[in-house]
Amino acid sequence: MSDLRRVMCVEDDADIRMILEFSLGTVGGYEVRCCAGGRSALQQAPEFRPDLVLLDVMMPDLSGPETLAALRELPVMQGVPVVFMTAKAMPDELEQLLQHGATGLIVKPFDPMTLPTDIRPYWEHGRGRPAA
Amino acid sequence: MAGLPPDVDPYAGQPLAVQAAFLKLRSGFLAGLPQRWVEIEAAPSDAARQQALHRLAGAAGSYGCTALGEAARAAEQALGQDSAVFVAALLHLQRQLQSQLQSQSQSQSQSPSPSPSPSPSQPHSDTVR
Repeated sequence: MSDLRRVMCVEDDADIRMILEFSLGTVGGYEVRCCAGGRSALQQAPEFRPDLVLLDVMMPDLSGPETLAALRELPVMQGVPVVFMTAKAMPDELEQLLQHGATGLIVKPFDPMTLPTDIRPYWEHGRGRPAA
Repeated sequence: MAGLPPDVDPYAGQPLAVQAAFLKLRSGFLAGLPQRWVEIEAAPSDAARQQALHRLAGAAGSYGCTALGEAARAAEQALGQDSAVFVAALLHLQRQLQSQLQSQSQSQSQSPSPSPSPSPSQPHSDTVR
């Protein structure tokens, strides 16, 4: 049975990328690839072949929803869970984000100690499912 | 998921190497706070200012600076309100920022490493909308 090994993080803030890499890589033991924007993620996804993607919502080049739509066009991304990371906490905004076809949401700030285990349920329940 | 409780070291109780690595990362984040303040203060538009506040709000809490993150979030939310509310939120954010830098400075004064960047300046009138 395959396991959750490779996690791609798409985030425009360098400090958040660093704490993500530390949390998921050093603490969680995952292979982590951090991208500073949606276009970079689209370029790197076919080679990295992530098992799960953490995707920021507000980014300057491509927004999270735009990136998600483009990622879903890639053959390698079919059935790969994509989880939005957002600082938006209003329930209607969260619901709107889920309607874009994300597997779930992680609210920022996240706890870097628990993030490695917090993402596992999204992978376990979301993998192999067609996009919404 | 729930965020962190106020201003904690999320790696307390972890192996020393993990704690040390986190503290190094946190130190880098704190060293960048004056530049973040400049980006907030000198933002060319409300949209750019919102982006800068939003990024700080998202980052600070994950580095254990919960009060700073909440102050940034409050300022972001106050951006669309009247200027008195926004300035009050911005001043609160500035105090939180200075407090973080002061704490960092005190902890660094106990070691031979260089002192952190200078404190942020007072909000300029062009930040007042």
